[in-house]
Amino acid sequence: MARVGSRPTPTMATRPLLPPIWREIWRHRLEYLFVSPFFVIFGIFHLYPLLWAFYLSFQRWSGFGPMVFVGLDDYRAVFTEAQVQQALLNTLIFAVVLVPTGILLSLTFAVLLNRRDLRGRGVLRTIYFLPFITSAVIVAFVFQMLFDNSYGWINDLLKALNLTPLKWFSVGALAKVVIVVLAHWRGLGYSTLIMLGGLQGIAPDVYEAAAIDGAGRWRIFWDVTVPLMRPVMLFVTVIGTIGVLNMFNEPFILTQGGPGNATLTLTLRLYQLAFQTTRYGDGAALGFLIGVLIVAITMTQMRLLRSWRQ
Amino acid sequence: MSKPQGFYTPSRRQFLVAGISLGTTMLASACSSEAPASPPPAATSAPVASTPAPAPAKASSQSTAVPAAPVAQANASQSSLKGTLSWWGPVHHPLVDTAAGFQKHNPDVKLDWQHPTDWKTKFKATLASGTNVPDLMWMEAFEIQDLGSKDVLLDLTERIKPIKDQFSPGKLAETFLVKKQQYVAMPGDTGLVGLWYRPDVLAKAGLKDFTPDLAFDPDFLNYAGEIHQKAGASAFFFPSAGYAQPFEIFLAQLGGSITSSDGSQVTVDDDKGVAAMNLVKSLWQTKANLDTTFQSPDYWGAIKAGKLASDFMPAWMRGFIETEVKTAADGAGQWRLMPLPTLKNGESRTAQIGGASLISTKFTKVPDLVWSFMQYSLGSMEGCTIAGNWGIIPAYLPYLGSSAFTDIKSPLFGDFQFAKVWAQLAKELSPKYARTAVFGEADTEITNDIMPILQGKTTVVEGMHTMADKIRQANQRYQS
Repeated sequence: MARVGSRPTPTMATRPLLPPIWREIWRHRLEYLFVSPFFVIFGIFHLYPLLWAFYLSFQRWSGFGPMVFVGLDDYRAVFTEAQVQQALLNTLIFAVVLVPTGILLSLTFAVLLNRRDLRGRGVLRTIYFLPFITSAVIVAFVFQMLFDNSYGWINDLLKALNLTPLKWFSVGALAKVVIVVLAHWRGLGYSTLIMLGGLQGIAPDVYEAAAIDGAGRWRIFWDVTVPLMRPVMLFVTVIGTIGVLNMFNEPFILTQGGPGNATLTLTLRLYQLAFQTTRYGDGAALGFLIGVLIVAITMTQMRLLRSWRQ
Repeated sequence: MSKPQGFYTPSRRQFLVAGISLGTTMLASACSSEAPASPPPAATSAPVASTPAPAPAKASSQSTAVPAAPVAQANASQSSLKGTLSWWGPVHHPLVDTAAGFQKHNPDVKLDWQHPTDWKTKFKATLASGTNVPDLMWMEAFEIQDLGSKDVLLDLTERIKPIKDQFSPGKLAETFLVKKQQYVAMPGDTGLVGLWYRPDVLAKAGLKDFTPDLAFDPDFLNYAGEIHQKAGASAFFFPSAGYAQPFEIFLAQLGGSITSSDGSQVTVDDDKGVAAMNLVKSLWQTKANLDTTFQSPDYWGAIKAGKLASDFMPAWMRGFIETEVKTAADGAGQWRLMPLPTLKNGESRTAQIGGASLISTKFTKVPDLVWSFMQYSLGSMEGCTIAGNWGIIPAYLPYLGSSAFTDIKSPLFGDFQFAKVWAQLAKELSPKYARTAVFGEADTEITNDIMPILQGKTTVVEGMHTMADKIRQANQRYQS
């Protein structure tokens, strides 16, 4: 069967002046037509907003009325704003805490769930993944009840153990702990699933060979599993870091950035700037700064981890 | 597999033409702004106040069939008004009820009541484009000041001026743009604050009922300490993560304000601001606060268990509490209301928290119709009775002085005539307390910065100056 659109068309002869690339496009116009929906949708809903947001980051605009060109003022305002600086510090703290512990915990869970002698593996895998798809509203209610300053179940437990109840939502460091717990609770299922996929991709022969050579469980884990899991761990690290740098849901549903901005993250601040105070120019500028930060950190991370992998 | 006989197979060209036509039609349909042809009916009984507080998430992208008017006006006089009025807001709202009454008088007016989610964000998007802007919106005081300063609201000055004495001065002031000398909103819900309390909880702790001349210092402070020690109950709500409302209430009572009435000067750290913060500090030091998250399950649990013996609460909280407190065991019928405790050098025994007003925009094509609706809903006895029965306190003084308002009963208060207290307080609401465009950001700053002051990590004066400087920085953005 002839390839669709590959036959020479009479119109080509009438367009001899077209550059070669356009001639090729014209010749494969049907193929291009079929793939065009993606590009049209991408152009309308991704590229255009991105370019418009970049343009907006040089304007002062509150949502209506004329825009005022302010050059780099929005970037300067965002850079010097105390809340943004605090949000940057908080976000980096969350990244430093959440990413390594997330890797460690998800690898541990994945190894446990990968055990062939584990009963109810399927059920357990589902349970681990459930928090990832649970409604944020329900999660907020549950965590508020768990950590409430006066009536929280965690504080009830502490009291039962003759320990002093803690003001979880009133002390900055404790509020950060609650956010970390929530982020792990919600996100571990996803990274565990990826780790599990990686583990199942390791051929059983490798383990058998190591066992025949006399390696124990720990030795096999450190010298076989971990090296072979490096590409997956690299992927989870990069994805996890990007996720934490974009962290919004957890502080939004639980603390709104409080107490005293202790859990304010960069994207939550972006939301406040753009949608609560309608400082769209500042919001757009912060969005691009977050983008640059993510690219820089991700590239650094990939270089470091690539050398580790090699 | 062979094709069945008679089965029509379109050519590739026909297939493509049909596909493109279908896609174009779908795109055109998606871009169309027509409202759904058959709006689903909505329940409208549960009162949920329009406030800046987190309301139950009930909004959905749908429209409401206007319900039957609760006021019997079967043979009401009918006008010759024609046209379409649109409004965006929550499903449960007083304007849904007043719309029914308005419709009876104006059968030729089509009311297009829509309930999109995040309607305020979408509303601002329509303002940006200037197309499909709803004719009516229910906006908070500081949003009115912000939008008004940007020249997008309908100027109601000539319409309100002749009747301005009929509204609570404190609420009316919030609809007025000082710099432009314009009224840009119809005074709506008066978010009056009073002292809500439970005499039964006081009695259990061996404490006497409050006297009408209750002073903040020492009466209320002493009571707070005692109720905490004797009954393990709280005297007021104040999450230790930070809370701005007590400060805002005291500031209003003292005749102070966060900004000047035109919004140009931030005055939160003046003498009155410092005095208000000192009052909050003395309140905090009683340790009689309910420390939980506002309207969380634990918050409602404490209220039902009688662990919150009193609080400085706005009028619109009635709707929220009524939906939670259903039985006598939960405290239904036990609540009482009185003016806020008197303050030394205080000017008022009330303040305002939340409470929105009704606006239209310069884009409306039916300003007369808009005004008719505004006047009916919030400036007439009939409309205000409907809105008042829903649960808000309209600022219309003839209504507030009538038995239609003062005789309102609530299962929360039993036979106690709580509305009489609100009617009294509406008259003394201070017009000096200005919630200008920066108010939303100021509220966040106060919430964030108040705890170090209360915990003594900084002096009141220093802490207030630091806080005020941040608000000043934010306020610059609202000065055009």
